[in-house]
Amino acid sequence: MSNILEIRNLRKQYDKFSLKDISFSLERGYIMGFIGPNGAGKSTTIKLIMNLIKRDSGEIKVFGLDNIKNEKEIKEKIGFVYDENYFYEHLSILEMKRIIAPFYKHWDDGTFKKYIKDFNLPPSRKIKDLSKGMKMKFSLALALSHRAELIIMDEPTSGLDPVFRIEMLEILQSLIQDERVSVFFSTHITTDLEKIADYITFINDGSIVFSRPKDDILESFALIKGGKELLDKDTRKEFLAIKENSFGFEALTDNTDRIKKIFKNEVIIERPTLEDIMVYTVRGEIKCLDSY
Amino acid sequence: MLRLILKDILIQKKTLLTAFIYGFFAIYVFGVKYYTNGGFVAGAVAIGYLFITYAVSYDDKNNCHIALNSLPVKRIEVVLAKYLSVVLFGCIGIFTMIIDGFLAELFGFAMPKNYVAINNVLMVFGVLLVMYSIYYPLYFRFGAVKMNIVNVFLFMTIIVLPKALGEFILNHENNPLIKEVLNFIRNSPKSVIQILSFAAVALISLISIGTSTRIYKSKDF
Amino acid sequence: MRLIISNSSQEPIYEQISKQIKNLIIRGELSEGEALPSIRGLAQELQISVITTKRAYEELEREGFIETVPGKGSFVSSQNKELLKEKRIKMIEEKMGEIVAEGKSLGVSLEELEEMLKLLYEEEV
Repeated sequence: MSNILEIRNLRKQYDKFSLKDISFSLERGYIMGFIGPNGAGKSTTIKLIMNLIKRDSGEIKVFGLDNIKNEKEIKEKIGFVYDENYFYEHLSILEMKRIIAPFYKHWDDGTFKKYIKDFNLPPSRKIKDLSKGMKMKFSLALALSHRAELIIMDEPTSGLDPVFRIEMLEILQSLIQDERVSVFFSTHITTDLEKIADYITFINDGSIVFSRPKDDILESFALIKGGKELLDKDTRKEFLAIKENSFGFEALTDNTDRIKKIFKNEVIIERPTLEDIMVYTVRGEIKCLDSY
Repeated sequence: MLRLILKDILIQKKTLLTAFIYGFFAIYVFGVKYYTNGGFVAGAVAIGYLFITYAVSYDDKNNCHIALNSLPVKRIEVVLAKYLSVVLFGCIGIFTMIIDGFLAELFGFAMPKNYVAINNVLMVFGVLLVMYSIYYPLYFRFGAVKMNIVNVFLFMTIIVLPKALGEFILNHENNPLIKEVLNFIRNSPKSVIQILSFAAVALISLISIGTSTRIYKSKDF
Repeated sequence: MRLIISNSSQEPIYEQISKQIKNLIIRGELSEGEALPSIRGLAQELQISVITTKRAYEELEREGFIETVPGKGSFVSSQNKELLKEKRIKMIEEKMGEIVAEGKSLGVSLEELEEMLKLLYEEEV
């Protein structure tokens, strides 16, 4: 099957942060969630895909084409939604639309009008007078009105109320009913992804921790809970990260079978959430570096 | 690219009204009072300046470069569009001054002869192009906010420079270099001077476009 | 067609789906040749990942419960009633195997297990 997005050995060096050789890919027709703590490199990666910043080395292919050499062609079929408003604030929704629309060959005004209506957006209101949620909805309406095949979103759900967040997830899912369309979105609200994402790519401190089908991830990791007396120098090594309190411990593992063998029935094994996996991994690594 | 130029107008429709009113002011200050057609050039240049200043400050205000460069456009188009809109805004300036001049005459103001001469029209484009050939590379590098002061300074210089230069030349008429230049200008046919000026403006613009493109292409947003 | 997904269950979602569809077929509620919802449609309805429904369908296909015609969708395949019953009995056998293993590890005798089974069997009507 063809990859709609393919990133290989991507590097970007900043003074205090660097993206280290990241690689992952997304198949056509699926939703990928891009998770990681703030400052992990999510926005940097998205900006590199959009050619808003220059890569130091590596390869980015969108629709099988190089994202810089074929920039125009690619962007014709990308719908983008960013975490902040980068449109002209003093213009109204309609005025802004009139500026954006002619840039796209396949602009579909009917679709745009439908979304504006569905989202309850006041067409003549100025962008600066819209709420954060409305700005997001407007962005989304623009992104979905030119028959884009790849929807790229940077933290679209942050600052949105749960009702609209669910509504947005439904929209995304209806989009991929058309098997040509993929969605790539970054977020730190992992519950949004727990439901609909097909793939999860987890970035931490500029490196990819994993990029796999969500079901695989949730099945391969387990949350182990037990009494503190079970922990000693050797058993500690069996876990990826451990959180202790005065009554017991909670720990993350990616090898449930081995844990079962060692601790038998003395521990409780639970299915973790994505948030568990993310939090434990981030903390675990920080602990290893001794810098926290 | 045309869409990018169109965008520069669509984001500031109100500036048209400001320009229209400003035109009369320019005619009054430069034209009627001193009875010279400098009012036409100064007015048109100032209107162009007004439009361009608004355009760049709106672009920078919400970091609209991020949205613009996420659309199917190449960075070189963004740069070229900015230079082409200088010409367009020059045209708007010229038309505004023509209309305003016509209206001023209608209201009984004595307008100077040759108010709308081809030389004046060319002068407007020449002045704007040179001015923004200096401004744009710096703007693409540092952004509109940091360039505010430079922009005003540049505008004032352009307005004051011709008079100052004239005086300087008059005072130093005996300087051998100036003498030579003046002789060349006096003795050459008008067409040669025009072609030379045209070539100079074109060269400056091209160098500036090249520099701006290089700066903007390597910019991280 | 009724499908109920529990998010709090230990059982993976794809397994919940395939099991429920399997039961619907075995009980005859889904009949031979009947079309199943599309993989993407089902994912949207249940608000779960496409990969999850895909995996459920693949499992059903592998076990011979459904057939997928490219471009047309998935259908309940022709089932041999005897074979179906055999499959179900085999499932019971597997579960009993688990019970026996667990019982042995805890030192529960066969008689005790039989007693437990008897009680449960009579209890459940």
